[in-house]
Amino acid sequence: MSDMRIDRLIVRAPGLSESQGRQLALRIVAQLAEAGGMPAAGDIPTLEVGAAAARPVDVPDLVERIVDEALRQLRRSI
Amino acid sequence: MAAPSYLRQIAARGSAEPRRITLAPRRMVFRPIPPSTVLPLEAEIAIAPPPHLAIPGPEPQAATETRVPPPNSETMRSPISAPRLGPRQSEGPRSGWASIAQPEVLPPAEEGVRRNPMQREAPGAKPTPAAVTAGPAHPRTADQDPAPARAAAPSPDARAFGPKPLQLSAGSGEIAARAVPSSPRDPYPTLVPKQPASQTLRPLVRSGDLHGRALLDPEVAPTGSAENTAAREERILLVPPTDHGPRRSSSPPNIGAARYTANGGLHIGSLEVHVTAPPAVIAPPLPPPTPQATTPSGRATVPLARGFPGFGIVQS
Repeated sequence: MSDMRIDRLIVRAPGLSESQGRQLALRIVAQLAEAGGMPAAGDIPTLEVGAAAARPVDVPDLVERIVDEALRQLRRSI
Repeated sequence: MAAPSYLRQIAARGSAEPRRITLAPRRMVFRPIPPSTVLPLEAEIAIAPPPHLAIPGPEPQAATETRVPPPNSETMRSPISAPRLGPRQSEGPRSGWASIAQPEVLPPAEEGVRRNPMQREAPGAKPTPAAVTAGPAHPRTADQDPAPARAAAPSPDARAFGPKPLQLSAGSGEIAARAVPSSPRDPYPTLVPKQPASQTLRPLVRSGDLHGRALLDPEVAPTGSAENTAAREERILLVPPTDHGPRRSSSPPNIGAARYTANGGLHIGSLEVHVTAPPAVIAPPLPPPTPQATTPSGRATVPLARGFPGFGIVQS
């Protein structure tokens, strides 16, 4: 089992409160941990993921789209 | 032609230039130390300890004579054993004092025992003068041990009740005083030389072990000594730095990835998620309100809801 280490996670979501942004970050981390196809090893200094929220905001869907985008960029970077 | 040696050059130069000061090898005289000025080892060993420091043997045993005396036994024996003969003769045969002449009077039947120094004879074995005279009958034994045969010249009483010669422990009075028999049946005591405090060997302790104990046990920790303090500092320097993990945010991704691949695992320095808001739906501008229409009957129309003026319900 490979380990993943994230030193810092920044979530910029306009229109969300602090608690909503914290919950969104935790969901993103949990989804990344459960996601398959993660590179076994690598070192990425900075990874930027952008996603557009729907209206009204669907949090699970937003988290899923963010994780997919993150995986795509990870595979492309390593 | 080979060049002349250094000494020949000096000699030739000295002869050619007599006024010049040159190194004169002839003045370098080697003077060996005369042998007479060196104190021989036998002279140190031959120092006789005081009579009161003589250690009595446990039991007169014939096995004491089976040992071959050292080469200098003749010079050692006389000064040590001579002063002890007088005052100890009145103690009798059970006093524990042994004589060096006893081994020479072994009976012929025990010759095999004499050839084997590890074996011990019975304490009750009493040598007889006939056995001494029977020495030449066994030429092999007489040849192997001629000195004890000559030492047997004193009277039988002196041989039976005389003090031990302490041939091996005759180094000094102090050594003889601390001599202890290795076993009750062994008449030759084991030398335990007393060492000065400055020469006492301290237990060797590895530096690493000492430091480890010092770290574990504060009582063992050395205090106040500059040597120990330096050793502790050295140990501190030897502690490897803690591993804070790879932090190479400034390094190129490829190089960092290659290094982190060796350690195993995925490292992301900073994950930034930007959530963009959906595009705002711009509603079309509302048409300006139309003037209230009046029916020919004179009744006014009232809109049904705000924003939808066109769908008003005509109230009758």
